[in-house]
Amino acid sequence: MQQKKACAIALLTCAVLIITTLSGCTQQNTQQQTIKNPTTYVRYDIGEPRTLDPAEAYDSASTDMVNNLYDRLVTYHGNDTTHIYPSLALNWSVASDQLTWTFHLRHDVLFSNGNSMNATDVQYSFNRVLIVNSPDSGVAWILAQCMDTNSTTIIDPFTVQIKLTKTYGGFLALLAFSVASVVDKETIEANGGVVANTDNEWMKEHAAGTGPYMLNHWTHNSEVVLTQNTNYWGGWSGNHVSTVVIKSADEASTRILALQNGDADFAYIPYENLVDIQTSTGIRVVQEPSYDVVLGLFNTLSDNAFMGNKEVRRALSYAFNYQSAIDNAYNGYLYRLPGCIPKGMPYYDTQNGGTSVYNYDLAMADQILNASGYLRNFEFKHAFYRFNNTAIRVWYNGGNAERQKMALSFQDALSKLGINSIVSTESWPQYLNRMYNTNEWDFMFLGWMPDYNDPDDYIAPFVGSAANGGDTFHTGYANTSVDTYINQGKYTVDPTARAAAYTAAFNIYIDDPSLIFIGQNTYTRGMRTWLQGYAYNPVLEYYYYDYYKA
Amino acid sequence: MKTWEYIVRRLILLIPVIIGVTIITFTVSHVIPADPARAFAGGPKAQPETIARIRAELHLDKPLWEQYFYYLNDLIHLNFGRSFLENRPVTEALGQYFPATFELTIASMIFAIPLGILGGIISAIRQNKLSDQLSRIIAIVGYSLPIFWLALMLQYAFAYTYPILPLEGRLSVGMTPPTHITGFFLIDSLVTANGATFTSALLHLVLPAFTLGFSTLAIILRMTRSSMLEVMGADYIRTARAKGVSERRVIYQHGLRNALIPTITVTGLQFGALLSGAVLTETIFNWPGMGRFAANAVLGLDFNSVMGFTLVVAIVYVIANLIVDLLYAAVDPRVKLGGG
Amino acid sequence: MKSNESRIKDLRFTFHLFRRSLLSMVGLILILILLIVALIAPFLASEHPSYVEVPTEQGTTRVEERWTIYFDRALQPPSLQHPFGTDDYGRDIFSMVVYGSQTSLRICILVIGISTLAGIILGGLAGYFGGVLDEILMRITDVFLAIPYLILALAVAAALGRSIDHIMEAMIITWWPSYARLFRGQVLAIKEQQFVEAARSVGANNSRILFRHILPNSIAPLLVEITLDLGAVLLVAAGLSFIGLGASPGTAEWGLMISMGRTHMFHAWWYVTFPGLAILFVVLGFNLLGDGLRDVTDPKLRR
Repeated sequence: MQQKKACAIALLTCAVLIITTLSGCTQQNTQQQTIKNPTTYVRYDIGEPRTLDPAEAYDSASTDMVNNLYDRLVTYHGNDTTHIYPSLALNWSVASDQLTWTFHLRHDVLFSNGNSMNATDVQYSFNRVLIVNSPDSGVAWILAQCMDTNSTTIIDPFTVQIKLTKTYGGFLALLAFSVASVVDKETIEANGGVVANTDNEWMKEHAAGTGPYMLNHWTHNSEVVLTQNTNYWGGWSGNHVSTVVIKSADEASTRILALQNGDADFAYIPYENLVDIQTSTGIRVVQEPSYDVVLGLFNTLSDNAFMGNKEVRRALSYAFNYQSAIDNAYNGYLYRLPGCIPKGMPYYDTQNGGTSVYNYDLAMADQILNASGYLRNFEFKHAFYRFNNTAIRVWYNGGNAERQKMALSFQDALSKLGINSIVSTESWPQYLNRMYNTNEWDFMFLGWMPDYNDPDDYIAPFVGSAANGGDTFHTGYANTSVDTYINQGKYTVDPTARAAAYTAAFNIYIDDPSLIFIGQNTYTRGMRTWLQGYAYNPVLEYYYYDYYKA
Repeated sequence: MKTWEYIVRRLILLIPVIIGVTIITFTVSHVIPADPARAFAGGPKAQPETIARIRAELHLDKPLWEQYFYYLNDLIHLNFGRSFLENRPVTEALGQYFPATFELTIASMIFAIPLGILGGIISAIRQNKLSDQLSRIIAIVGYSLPIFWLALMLQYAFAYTYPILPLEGRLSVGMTPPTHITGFFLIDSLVTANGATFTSALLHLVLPAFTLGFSTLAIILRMTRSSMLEVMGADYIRTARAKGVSERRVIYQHGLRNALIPTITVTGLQFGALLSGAVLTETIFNWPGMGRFAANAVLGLDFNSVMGFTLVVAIVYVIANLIVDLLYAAVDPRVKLGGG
Repeated sequence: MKSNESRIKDLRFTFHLFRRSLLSMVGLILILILLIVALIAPFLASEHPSYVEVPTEQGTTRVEERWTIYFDRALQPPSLQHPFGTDDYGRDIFSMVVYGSQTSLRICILVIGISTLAGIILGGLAGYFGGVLDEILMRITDVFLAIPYLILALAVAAALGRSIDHIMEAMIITWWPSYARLFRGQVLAIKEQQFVEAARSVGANNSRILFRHILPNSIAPLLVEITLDLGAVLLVAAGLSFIGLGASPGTAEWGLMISMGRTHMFHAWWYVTFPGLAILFVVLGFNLLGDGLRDVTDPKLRR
């Protein structure tokens, strides 16, 4: 009968289609061996920049663009984070008062539009940041912590003097950050100028810089394309890509396929998908330590009063399976974090020499809980659990696969200890609301990325109290001794004094923990082997001028 | 009722619908416990002054009804506010995304409607023969398949395993978009005589349009087939045949016209569905359109974007309905506009 | 008007026609399989979830389904022990698909059931009494139909929290208007017919007319729509989970499994394929069934 025949044909076609497609699924070898787009660098990433304005850029996608469209007085090279190199400034010196810095500028720098760069532009750039005081991102605080609009003075067309408002140990590191980029005064004055407490709309989507690249076009949620700045003071002899394309592709499978067929030279691949490209020819997995950390936060002010008890928090710190987080949530790409300061940053060793105090030890957790007086028991009948204590509310932000794994794993450990827990997820704005505006949580996951290369950028916001300008995660933690030591570390320039302060702080806060120090992400990306000149800098991230394809 | 009277009446009825839609979306998005001000200010790194500033800008400290009137006032001045997610005016975002989705929807309709109708006619004429059964099976599988699965399979098969079509996006990587006239890349590149861009845009449309249109094709095919069958067995057809009118004339002049009516209904409904339901296709093919924008806006609680998007879609839905009704009247002389 | 005998004869003929169509029978079989699997799930599955009582934000308690985690056997391909393989938490996918059938069935029945009920009541009242009531209903349904279902679903999930129940509530809100409209249309068409006039002249009151005369005759087209929508509901629920809403992380829900599985598509094809096939077959079943019903109940095609 016709129906039966038709059914048979349909089934057969389906089977053929599925088999041919699936057979490709397991095929790991990539067909693409000849270099695609030899002078263009293409990266497939998630998200996109928010702005191209140095006075506004704060998120990494934006600062990445700024770092390549503009230059700063000083910079880092390659993956070296310890040495500061000259860029627009040829050399500099600081007076004995530790406050007055003098910079001598290069004479040969031109903006992409042909204007020459001099001290006026530098002064304009810094003051602009402070006056605009970006309402969108608030990035001005980085300069504002030690500068004001009277700080920068012009000595002569190529000499700038900066008198700080207070000594700051990390001042040079700060000047290497995108917010301190030098912009063209003339162009900005012609396009909206500087208005107090208002972001410049034109600068969001255009660039007026001295950097190696200029903006070609930006199609939102699609791609940003940069092309070569022929006026670049560094010149174009040697090997450099002439075009840079940053594509937004939120779907992981798209990025993987693009990397495999050569459309992408570089792509953000989630940890759980690295296995898809690891064995492909022509592709390698780039791995670097980074300063990005992932933390578990305790709400010491939770409506569950036991969270205020430091012994309970210590016990919970022993109940977290750190190794599982490393192996299963991050597929091995996580480095255990002993305290606030990540490895690679100065003063890391003030934290018990870099060895973690807490490890996964349920017996220890049990012991501490018994001593603390926190009662637990439960009944288990017919596959049905009923706990007799209040549940610990664990939250993670939606879509984050790693945090989901850690959350469910934590729940597992807690129930072994006889503690009930609820794991829930919600979108980012709701998550932030819960964290900052309510006490309806006990444990949440969060990450932190560096602003600049100094431990103060981590320890002060993490375990400083709110009164001292810290407690950035709204945990309610407030320990005056810790605050004292943090401030000592912040305002001293002498390394020995700083080390002593940070050691003292660590020894106090590790016994009264408001955070679970889970780990430091290994920065991993997928890269085509034909890409040369690549180096990852944890603060600067990418510098495309050094890249070429061969 | 004359046609233009009818159109005006329908357009006036647009207003209470819009008000209803805005009230609902406004209330829903503003009573959700969330802190969009902090999210837009940068999350954990947000500075208190920034947060306060954004909160004031969004009028979040005022009572709900007052916020609604700020919103209505802005609407009347065609100010949809600022998308904090994208850091630009909502109208600018919509101006980019709406044409993108519209172009995709039209493309999928161009693919689905003629093929669907043709398939339906052939199916009906050769009822119960092999071609009919095959097309019925294809149709049913077509609207039973989860759309993202179809998208992933197609992408994998035709953009990767046998790379004959592009993997994602609207244009080749790094290609400059055509000068913005309508926002439709095909039209803009034709008008500016940009051959390479036109070809690229066309190739990039193939897979997404196919994915999006496949379920519509299935539905239209089914719909046309059954209404053709219904019509072909009707009395007036038999009369026409008895009178000696040729088979072809019978089918096309009498049968098709009447079979088109339910097809028009379905197309109208599908159009609305496609506009907002393109999320999954747009996500997988990385198409910067309304669907993806809407999903991100709601997940990110970007109020202004959510309301701007909803408004646009609601207006399109009502206008699509209007066009459908007008087409009814054009196709079927028995239908009187404004009647029951 | 049909008498009882002719009704029975009609039904028999209908069933006979139905049986002759292979595709319709396939649909019926698929749905029967779903029902059976859902019923005997605990006996069919090799591994089982445990259930935990947790407090809700509203102050009550609810029961949560939890599957044990076995990271050391994560992402294993199909084998005798795990016919559908394991997921990234080491859970047996076969057992999860089997238990997931219960959730899927619940979603389909509750969403369509409640939407239909609400639609019939509101649409019936509006269609029968007409006037201002009708106008108001038309405008309300207009508004709800104009709002994209995605927005409503996402908004409900954001406001009330992500869970299957809230997704269902959101879907009900978006679904009932079309049923109301459909039923209203039917009622309008039928209430002018002669037999209703006859009943009225005999003195039957409104509720009698509605229930005994109008309702039975309007249901038929609705039935076909319902069967087709059952499949659509499942696809929508899967789509919403795909975006990241819907079921809480530990549950076995097909849409959620596909959403989590697709990132592992290239190195663990079984994770997304088996739940995907499950959805495909159920939706296919409902669609074939609906199509078959449409074919056999259409008077003009019964010749």
